[in-house]
Amino acid sequence: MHIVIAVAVGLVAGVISGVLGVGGGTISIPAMVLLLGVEQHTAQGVSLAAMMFTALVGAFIHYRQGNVKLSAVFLMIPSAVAFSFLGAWAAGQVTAEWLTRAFAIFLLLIGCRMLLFNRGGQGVSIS
Amino acid sequence: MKSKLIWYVATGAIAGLVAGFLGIGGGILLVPLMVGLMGLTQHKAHGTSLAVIIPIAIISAIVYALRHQIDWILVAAIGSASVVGAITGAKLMMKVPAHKLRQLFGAYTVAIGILLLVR
Repeated sequence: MHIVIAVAVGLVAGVISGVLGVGGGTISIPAMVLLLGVEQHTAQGVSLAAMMFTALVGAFIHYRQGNVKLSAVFLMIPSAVAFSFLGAWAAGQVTAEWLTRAFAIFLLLIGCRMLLFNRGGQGVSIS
Repeated sequence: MKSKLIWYVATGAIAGLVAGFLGIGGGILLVPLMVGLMGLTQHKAHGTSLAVIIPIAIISAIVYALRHQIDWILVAAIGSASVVGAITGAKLMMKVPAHKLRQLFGAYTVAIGILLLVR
């Protein structure tokens, strides 16, 4: 049963991220925590591990369409890698309870921003 | 380009930090920052953010894996379904009113945020 829910969660997260360009982890992490009872750290770990593959596929498709600015990618990668390591390490230093709270507050901020600054038109992503 | 170098470094740092700490991709921060600070188009920002997310996800996933905080069966189920969903979503992109979907997604994130806080 868990697998069926997990597949359904993945499908929904995938479709939303395909249309909006965001929303993979914001959908799958709370779904794992609330529906499957997965602990917050593990839900985040699963989200990141799945993202290795989905981002690779997505980036490849966009690259073929000429929509990847490689110079920007290489300028961002050093700090992105260093600080993602720091962030992932920091997550291990807090309890699941506090991590869920931080995650929930982040969701609230993102949601409010999206509701308040929702521009019209067909979008690849939020702006 | 050179004068903007600091923006690239800062954007990578912020997206990486939040992504590693909260387990999300960072695209939700990368795309608006790249459009706002670097003047990239939405399409370019979307594609470029995905390319930056690859190393972010790999490094963060390694750290979580070393703490045994990854359930690989869930990764296989959610990951493979996500790829199928994302390809479907990309095809639907031009047919779905993105404005409405953003409203729905915004309302969803606020509702889930509150639910996670009060549960």
